[in-house]
Amino acid sequence: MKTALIVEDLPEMRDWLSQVAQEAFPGLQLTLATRLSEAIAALPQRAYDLALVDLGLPDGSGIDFVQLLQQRQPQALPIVVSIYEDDDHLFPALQAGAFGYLLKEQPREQLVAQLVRITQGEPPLSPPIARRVLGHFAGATTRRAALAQQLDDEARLTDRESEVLQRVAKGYTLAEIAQQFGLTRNTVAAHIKNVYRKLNVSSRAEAALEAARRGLVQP
Amino acid sequence: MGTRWRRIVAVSAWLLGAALAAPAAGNPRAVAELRQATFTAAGAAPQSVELPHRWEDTAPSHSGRGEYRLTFPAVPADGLLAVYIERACADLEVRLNGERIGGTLEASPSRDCYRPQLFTLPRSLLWPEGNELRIDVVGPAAGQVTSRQRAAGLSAVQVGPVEMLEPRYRGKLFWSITVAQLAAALMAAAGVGAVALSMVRRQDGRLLYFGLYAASWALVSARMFAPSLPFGPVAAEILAAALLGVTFCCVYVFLLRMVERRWRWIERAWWAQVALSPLALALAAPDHLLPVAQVFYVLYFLEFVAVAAFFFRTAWRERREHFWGVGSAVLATATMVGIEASIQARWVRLPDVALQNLMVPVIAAVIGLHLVRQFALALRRTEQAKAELERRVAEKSREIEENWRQIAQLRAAEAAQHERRRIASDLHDDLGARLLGITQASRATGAADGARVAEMARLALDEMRLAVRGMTAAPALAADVLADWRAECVARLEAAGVVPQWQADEPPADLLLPSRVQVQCTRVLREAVSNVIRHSGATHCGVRIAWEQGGLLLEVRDDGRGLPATAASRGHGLTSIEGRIRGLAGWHRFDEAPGGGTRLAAWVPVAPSANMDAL
Repeated sequence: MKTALIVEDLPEMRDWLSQVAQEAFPGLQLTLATRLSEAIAALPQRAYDLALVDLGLPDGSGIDFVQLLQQRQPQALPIVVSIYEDDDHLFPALQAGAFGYLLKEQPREQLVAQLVRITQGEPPLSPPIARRVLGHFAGATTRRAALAQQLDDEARLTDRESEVLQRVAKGYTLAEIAQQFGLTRNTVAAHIKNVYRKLNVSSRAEAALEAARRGLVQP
Repeated sequence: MGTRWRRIVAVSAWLLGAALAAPAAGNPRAVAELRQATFTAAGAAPQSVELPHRWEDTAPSHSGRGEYRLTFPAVPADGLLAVYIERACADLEVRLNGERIGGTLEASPSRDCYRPQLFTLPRSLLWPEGNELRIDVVGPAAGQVTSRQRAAGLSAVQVGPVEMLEPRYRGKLFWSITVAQLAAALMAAAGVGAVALSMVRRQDGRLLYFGLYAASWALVSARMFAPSLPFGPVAAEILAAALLGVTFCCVYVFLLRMVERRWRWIERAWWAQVALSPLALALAAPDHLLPVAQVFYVLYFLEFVAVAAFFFRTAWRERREHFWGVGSAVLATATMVGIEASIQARWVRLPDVALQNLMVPVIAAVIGLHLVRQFALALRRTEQAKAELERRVAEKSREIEENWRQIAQLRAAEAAQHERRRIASDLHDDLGARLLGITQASRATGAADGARVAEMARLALDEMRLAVRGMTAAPALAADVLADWRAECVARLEAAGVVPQWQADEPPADLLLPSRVQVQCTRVLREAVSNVIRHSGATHCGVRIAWEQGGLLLEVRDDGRGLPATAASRGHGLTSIEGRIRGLAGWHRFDEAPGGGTRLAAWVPVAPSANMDAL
């Protein structure tokens, strides 16, 4: 992690996030943006490894920026920073390609630890989010047979991934799940990481299919 | 339907048969029927003829006056005698032994040939034997009439006791005159009624043509009984034939309308034919009326047969309901027209009764009944349809009202939801941001007080978030809520170095927890776990959740220091737990855990109808 982009409109929060990021990755080069337009303008300036994006920006939604970042700089790791903890706000961001989320009010040490874990491939997964993810994939396979056929393995959960998700949805921690399946914590974390990636891929595929169905673009 | 019509036809036929049979009643032995006569046409030699006699048999072109002489045998010594003449065309005068006893030779233009005549024979004029009746007849030659029935002639003459002849006379008078007049009047009334009805229902052409048919026939037959006519006998003949044409034309169009056909060109041709017939007859008048009229009659007959055949074929295929009702009338008409044609063509003897005067009204009555029945059926269908429609409208109205009510409810719910979301979003963005600001600002100071303020602000933020969720969240599945609780408790306890023991009963399937219950219980649980982490110094913490007595039981126990005596009622966290549980109409209890430490037990009721609280 050498470069990071922080998109946050509140100055205190921006400083706070800067400190957290510096602490998590010493020597990190930061680019700060206060609005969506600034963030977009900052994109061509350099290649980012990390992006901390606030959801509620004065001139738009952070979700849009996450999506844009996915297209322009796929190597960058987008992380949503939000005051909302409910899945209604977080899930669309994850679908758009966010690789994790931080809740703003947490103590600094906790935030630093979480940030490090996320970048190491252990994104947080709360039971409500896990349920939403399960619902998303179940819907993609049952409601939309066409989509299910089009989706390759890249966008389909493996049995083990599903099992892990189900345990998370029931309120088990990563350590407990690892123990139950006889896996290492890292393996379970890798499964969750894959779930994040596939959620984004399948969401995009679904959106493309929906657009084709409505005649917006040629399939 | 078919059997009913067949029954009506059978009854009609029986009535007709009775009518025809009636004049034959009586005792003929005492009555002498005179069948031999000497006929003298004016200015011609006398000739012996047999009665009934028609002039055209012996003097085809003779018209005007003719004289019959009849002798009748010895008469009984006592009793009043009479002479009964069934039919004389057209007027007659009767003399007994040279003395006039009745009748008049003034020719009436209506030529009512079927009117019977009865004259009493004065005893004073009777001779013991060799009596002679002289009957002078004034009538038209066959060529001068448009119907052979009206050509001059005389029926058989009956002489006998007046008490025997009078019933015959009355019977004949009744059937030939009274019934025919009555029928004509009824036909006229029915015709006018149908025409009037068709004026109201213009789209129903059947009624119009049925009415015209009945009315024109009423005119044709009523003409016979007119005491005087404003025009001469020739004009009357032409008019009668022309009216007959109108009647036929109406019948054709009526039959076509019954099977829903409307052929303008053919109808126009028929009406042209109706207009043509009086012209042609006028040209043929006065001496060649009958042949010309017969041409038209043949034409009418052929047309009628064609139309009737078409009617039967089409009615059978398309309008079966008219087949028997109108069909029987058509058959009867065909029979009558056939008989009439035979009479005109002289294939059969001239009947004593004017057949058409009886049959046509019966036929019209059959058709009329059929139309009335159709009308009544249509009315009933309409009423049924109307009732059905009203029922459906009422049903739909109820449905619409119900839908409106539901939509209104949904709208209200949606508006409330929208408003809640707006408030929630405002709270998050404004209050939440400020609390966050406090958290960070106080942390930045680095002082112990700062950390405390930061923690308080964080708790306030947490409270706010729960409040928002209580406001906006839908009822959640109990199983999902348990999972969230588990994740939170276990993660927090583990992070604090306390070993968690989680034990939860499976919740009733599909049980929904209202958001208020969910939020308040979350807070209670969070508070209890915080207390364990902060104050108890415990190494183990057990959380148990059970579904007991229609409610939710929360139990948090630790193996720590135990509860200070005063804290039970005064500690901040504890009082807030108490308030929340009371707010949910539940109970709670702090006591000592079995192995030392503290135990909190709280129970809140969960209504089975929690689903209904969703709105």
